[in-house]
Amino acid sequence: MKARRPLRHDSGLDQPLVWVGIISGTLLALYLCDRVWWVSIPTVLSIVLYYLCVPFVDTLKRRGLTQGQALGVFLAAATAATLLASLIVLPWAATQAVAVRDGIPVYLDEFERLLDGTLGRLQSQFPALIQANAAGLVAERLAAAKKAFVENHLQGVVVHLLTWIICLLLIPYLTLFMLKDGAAFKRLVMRGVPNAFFEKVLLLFDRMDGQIKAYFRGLMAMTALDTVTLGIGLWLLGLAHGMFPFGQSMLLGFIAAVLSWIPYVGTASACLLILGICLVFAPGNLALAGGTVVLFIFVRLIDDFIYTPMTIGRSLAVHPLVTVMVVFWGGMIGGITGLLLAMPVLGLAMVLGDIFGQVWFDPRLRARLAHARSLRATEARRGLGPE
Amino acid sequence: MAFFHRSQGSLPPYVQVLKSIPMFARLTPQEFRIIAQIAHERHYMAEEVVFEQDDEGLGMYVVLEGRIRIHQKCSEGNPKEIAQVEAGAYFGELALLDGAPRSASATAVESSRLLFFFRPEFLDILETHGRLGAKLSLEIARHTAERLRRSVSCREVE
Repeated sequence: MKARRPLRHDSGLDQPLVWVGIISGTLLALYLCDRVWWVSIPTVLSIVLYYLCVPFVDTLKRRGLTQGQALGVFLAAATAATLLASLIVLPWAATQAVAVRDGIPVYLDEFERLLDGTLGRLQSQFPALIQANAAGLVAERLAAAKKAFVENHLQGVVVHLLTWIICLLLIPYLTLFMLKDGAAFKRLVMRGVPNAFFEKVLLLFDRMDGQIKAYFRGLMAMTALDTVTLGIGLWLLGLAHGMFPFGQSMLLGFIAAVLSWIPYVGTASACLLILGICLVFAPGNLALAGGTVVLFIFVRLIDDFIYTPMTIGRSLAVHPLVTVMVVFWGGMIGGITGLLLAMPVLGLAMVLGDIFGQVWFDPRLRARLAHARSLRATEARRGLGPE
Repeated sequence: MAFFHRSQGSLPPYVQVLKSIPMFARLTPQEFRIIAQIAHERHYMAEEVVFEQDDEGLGMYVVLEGRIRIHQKCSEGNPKEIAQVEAGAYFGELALLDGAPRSASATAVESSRLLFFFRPEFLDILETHGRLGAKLSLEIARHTAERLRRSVSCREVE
């Protein structure tokens, strides 16, 4: 038997109003996230980590451990695993980071040479470009941009890295407290909800929790699958052309997989990045460039038809137009932070908007709220004089 | 507020009331701590609605203080009182098991303090704490069987 659907006064404006709220809320949150990125990024990442850790803690609890014991065992295991991974991965990662840092000026020089050559060929075919001094203008702007990049960003890489490391250290700390006091925090939030809405909000919160859990776990699983697929693909492509050793191809695969968190734009940017590397180090090798494009199209198709239904599913059923708009506006408002956080923040705003819409626009629940308020007002007035 | 204070491992004050209810009487202090993690304390004014007939059944209420009237709409549309639940008793426990719509409405007769157990959180406890889950489920089943027996014997008398 199904529960009675609450009578809804559908004015036709409910949904548009909720959506305006969702999009404005998302953009405001992205703006704030960018202003306080040193807090917002660790917070969002610790929420992701929390959802990834919860199943392990639950498994321990199912084996008869209390919440405290389960957390202790999990913390000890996670610390040991992190230390072990750091001992193995850190030296390799440091070597790769140094190689990337030293390689950037070389990549820029190679890119400049490639662009010069291409513009020269274009000018020989289209004389109008010589009159416009296109090659000179492009080279001048490129040189200025390169100088600014090397002076402003490359020198500050170490300082920037240190800031990031301090920020990232907050993540396990925040995650631990979410695991420990998550239930108490939820009860605290629920205390602020009026009695009339209480049960419904609790139910919607529970659904939201399930949805977020599924989304983040799916996202992590998809990132791992994308990293392996792209990494192996690049390694196989590179074998024939003397490029992309295994470690480097897996690193590039991981970068591309993380970039693809940004819907639509992310995969294209990752493809352009790797295409750029191919063109710089193997100029004129059309087979390699073509192979890279085919590989990305292939991974995109696998993502859409196999990985996404297997992992994220359709948990965030948002119209592509809304997604693209929020991603672009998020990028404009919040830069890189805005681009990366646009989808998770939109997902959260959608669920909160949905809860608000379902509760606030239900006339029966609002009538119960008004009734409870009048009872409280009467109680507060008691003994003050004649009614 | 409890969240902002360091917990000293003490049990919440309402545990004394819970101990007087057969469903919770056999729980250990450790099990009460687990129960406290899913208990939502609410305060209702006299005549305030707790839930309405046909609402989705989302969980069980324990009356810590006050009195709750359980009433049903008759075919003529007039509400008919079924029972009054006093402090130390509970209602809506079937929703913990099947989530079916509420068969009656509940309204506070006087200013009341209730404890709400939400079904998904309760099922979570059954899954993660097997022993505690078994104790609670058995008590709910015993209570339901007792009510069924009572209603059957009433019909036999009629």
